Amino acid sequence: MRLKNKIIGGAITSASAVSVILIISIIVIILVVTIIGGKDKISWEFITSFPKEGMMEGGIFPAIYGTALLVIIMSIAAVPFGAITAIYLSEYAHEKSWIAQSIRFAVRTLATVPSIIFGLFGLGFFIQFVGPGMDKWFLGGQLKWAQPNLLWASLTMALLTLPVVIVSVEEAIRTVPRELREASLALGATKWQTIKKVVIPGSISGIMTGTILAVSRGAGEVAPILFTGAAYSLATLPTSVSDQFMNLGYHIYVMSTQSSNVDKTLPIQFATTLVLLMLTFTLNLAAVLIRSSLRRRVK
Amino acid sequence: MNKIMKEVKIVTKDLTLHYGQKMALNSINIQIPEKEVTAFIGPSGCGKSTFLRCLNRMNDLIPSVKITGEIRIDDLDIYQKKIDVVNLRKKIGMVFQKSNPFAKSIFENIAYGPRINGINDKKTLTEIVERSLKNAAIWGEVKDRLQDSALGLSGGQQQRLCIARTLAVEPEIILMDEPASALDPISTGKIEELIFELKKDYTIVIVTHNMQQAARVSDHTAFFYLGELIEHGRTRKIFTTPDKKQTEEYITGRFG
Amino acid sequence: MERHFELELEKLNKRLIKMGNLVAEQVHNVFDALLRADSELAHQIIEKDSKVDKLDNKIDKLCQRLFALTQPVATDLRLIMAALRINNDLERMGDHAVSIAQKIEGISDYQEIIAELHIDEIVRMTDMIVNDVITILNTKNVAFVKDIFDLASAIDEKAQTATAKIMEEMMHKSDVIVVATNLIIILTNVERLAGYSTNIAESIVFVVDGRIMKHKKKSFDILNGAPTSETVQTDEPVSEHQEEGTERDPEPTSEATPSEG
Repeated sequence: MRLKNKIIGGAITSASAVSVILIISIIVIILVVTIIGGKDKISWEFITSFPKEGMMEGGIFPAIYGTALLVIIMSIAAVPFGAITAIYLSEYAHEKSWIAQSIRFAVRTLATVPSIIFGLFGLGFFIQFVGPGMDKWFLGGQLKWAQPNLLWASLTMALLTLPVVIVSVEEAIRTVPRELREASLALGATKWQTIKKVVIPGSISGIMTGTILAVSRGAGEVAPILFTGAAYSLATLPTSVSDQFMNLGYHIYVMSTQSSNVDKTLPIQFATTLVLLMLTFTLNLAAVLIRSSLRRRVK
Repeated sequence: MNKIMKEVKIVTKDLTLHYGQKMALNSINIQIPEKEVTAFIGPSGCGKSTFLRCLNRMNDLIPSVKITGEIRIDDLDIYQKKIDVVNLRKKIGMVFQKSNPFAKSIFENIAYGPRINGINDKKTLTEIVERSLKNAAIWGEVKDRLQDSALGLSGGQQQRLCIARTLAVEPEIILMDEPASALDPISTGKIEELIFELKKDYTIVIVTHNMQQAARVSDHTAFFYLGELIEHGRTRKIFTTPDKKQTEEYITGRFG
Repeated sequence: MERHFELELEKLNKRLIKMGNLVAEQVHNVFDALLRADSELAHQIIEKDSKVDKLDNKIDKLCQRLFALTQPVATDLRLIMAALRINNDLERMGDHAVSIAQKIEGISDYQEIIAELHIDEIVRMTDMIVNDVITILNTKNVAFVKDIFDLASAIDEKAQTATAKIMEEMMHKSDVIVVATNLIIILTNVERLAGYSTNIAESIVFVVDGRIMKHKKKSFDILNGAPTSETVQTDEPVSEHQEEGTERDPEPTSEATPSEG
């Protein structure tokens, strides 16, 4: 019996060791390959200049700028909406009410929908339905909104990241101890005062973590913006939400599939990938740091 | 010895409470006198905490709870429709088992109640904070660090801070749910002494697992068992010559 | 901290002193009545005993309450335990005063015998011992406890002598039997009063420093700081009294053996 346990234990230990090594090596390989491939290309100039000569030279500044705008507008749309939903779910809705149940079901489903479907939804809903409607009602039929642009791409991306925001904010709100809410209520605070002055301040780090995770997810996704606003190449930076924009992920995709000379763009591809990886790693790291500082505070 | 019974502050009539299908309180009838300490004792799950939380309608937060019967405070039925629960809770402070200061400064913890009542004048708040901390016998320990986080205080200090926070709202009744169960004997002694001081101005209801504590701090004791109020009377009577056999068995530790 | 419990203990202490003063007054008055053959005063004493009894009940209840509600330990525990005993002793002293008062009418015509037997002296000493012990109760100053024991022994000795004289008288004159019996009863009561006084002194020592003097023959030595009393046989007044069969404990059942503390 003891021997059997020992064998099982040993097997599990070695299996875990193998998976850990596997996972770490995947990350390391990805990093090493991109660093080796892109290290000659990456420079301050690369980050701050426009692409040249059909993207075979020059930098990726418009793509970084576009990605930044995308995630900012996406956050502005997704975070308040997600936070309000999360607050409703955790503070107001009865756990077993049909409305809470259906919201939860919707959030769970939304999280499993493939991202390309969001892209198609954005195309069908925003560009072919909302956009023409806006053009018709506000601009007398002049074409402005019924085409891919930054706003529609951001909103589509917001839909994609909404479940991430809702789940992480709700989780953060749940870490606020019941005792604190009761203390506030027992002092004669209303529910809203309690949420405003105790629950949200108590979960702000969690809410921020959720936001950053959502942003990092949005920064890396390409499919939802494929049809809704990302441009192949632009000579100028977008100046309005109705403009198209360039995007890091899309830029890589374009360079590796649409370029006339894929081999020649390879170093730029690696360098761009490296920038994108750095961006998402940094965001994730920030999320981890905020979460751990939150844990320290709870202690 | 034969002190005249003071004014009755809280009266319940056939108060019955269900958690879903389970009956947690069965037809409780009790009168709680003003400006005295009433202790609720009884084994775990006897309903004493549940009953306490009925008194400031804290059980409203739990959806499956159904309450019938009546609780009158100052002859006002607190479960009638038009009662403003928020105002009710301002009148009835509560101190919890686990000290639960907000993650704010000591000053802001005390000022929380007044602030939500619309008091924002710095001078008034300062006065309230000082008075509340003094009344909770913790002023001397914290007066030099009012801006420090309340979470840096010891458990006993935190609990007295929570009492001070309750006092800042100027309640008439203070409910205490095992306020010293997580504290060391010295801190417990301080809390008990504080309770003795507070009863001059407040009606205090305290739930405790610790029978000796009930004996030491309370004027009246109510013994709960299986959701029923078995016996209620003067503490000195309950602890020397209880009427009911169950009470006797519980307080002498011969239960079950 | 502990302030309100302290108030309760102080209340107990005050009641005990009140009880002591009341009993001391009863004792003083009964001696007064005895020496002046004042049956009116004797009557008042008998009436007033109900007051003693009431206070006795009150103290008993307070002790019970303190035990039940405050779980006293150490000094507090000793104080309440001792208060119960002292209260009990005082109440018995009150009863002895009443017993004496009841006999006063029966001897009022025999003042010259009382004088002859030096009963006035015994009575004065007993009055003194009672007063002293109440003072100690008040001040908790156990330094004078030794004097109490000395005085009690002296009283006992004198009472024995007087009793012996009375018995001798009874053998010769049958007409004095009634008064003689009354006098013996009075003397026994007086001697008991002194005995209870030493008991109370012992209880106070127990409160102050936790030593139990009860049933220890040479308790004086404990007071003088010698923990093992048996060794101090040379201490003159002690052995002297002991040889004469002094029994400080008023209860005849208690053996004068220094066995247990």
